[in-house]
Amino acid sequence: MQNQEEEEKHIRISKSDPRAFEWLYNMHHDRIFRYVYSRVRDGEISADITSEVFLKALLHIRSYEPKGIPFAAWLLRMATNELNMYFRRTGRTRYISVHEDLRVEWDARWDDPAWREGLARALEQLPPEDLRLIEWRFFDGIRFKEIAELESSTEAAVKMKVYRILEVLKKQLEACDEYTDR
Amino acid sequence: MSIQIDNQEPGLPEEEVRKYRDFSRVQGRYQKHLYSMPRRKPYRLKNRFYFLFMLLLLLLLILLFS
Repeated sequence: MQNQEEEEKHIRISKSDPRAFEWLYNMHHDRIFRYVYSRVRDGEISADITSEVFLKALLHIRSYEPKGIPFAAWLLRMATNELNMYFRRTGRTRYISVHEDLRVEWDARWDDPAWREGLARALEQLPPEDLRLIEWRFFDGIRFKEIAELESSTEAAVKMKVYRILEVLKKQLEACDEYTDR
Repeated sequence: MSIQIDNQEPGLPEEEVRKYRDFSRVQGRYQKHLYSMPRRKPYRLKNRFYFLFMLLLLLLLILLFS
């Protein structure tokens, strides 16, 4: 609670004095860096993207309102956009790792590299906004409530959308399995 | 874009993350951004006078030909 008050205070000051932003940077750097690193798997590139995220946050902090989405979620959304731009620009491989929540939610052959390869191909076919939801929920373990805040939507709407996308993915994988079984 | 799914999450030690926590990187980019911003045109006021002058000229022309 005290931390939140401190955060709000620093956000308020940063709007007129960028030096106050350093406190916010130190508070949130590690989470954002880890998030970027989990996709890029390169320390220097991750540091570069993370710096760009914080630069954008500093440049747009005047438009940020603490009453809306939490600051951490605001940064995460910026990091996702920055990552999308990076992958579009460079065409490099996007890494994602299986989170424990996904193992529980979706009983599948996670230890089978060929099956994971099939899922990766299915994920590549998803529109960026659907891929973002699946990544947040199942590969980053972000709770539905937080995703709803990130998406400026309701928890129920996000849940419905995520499960609809999961169904599409499952069907695609089953079709792929039938084809390979023939 | 290609996707690769790993079975395990990448473990990154705390010290490794801390090594990259360097606010001067952001500050440097911020300074660079500020310098690359186009400066406000110094002749902005002159433009305003130019606009008024043209308006007066137009009014004069209207009066002259009416």
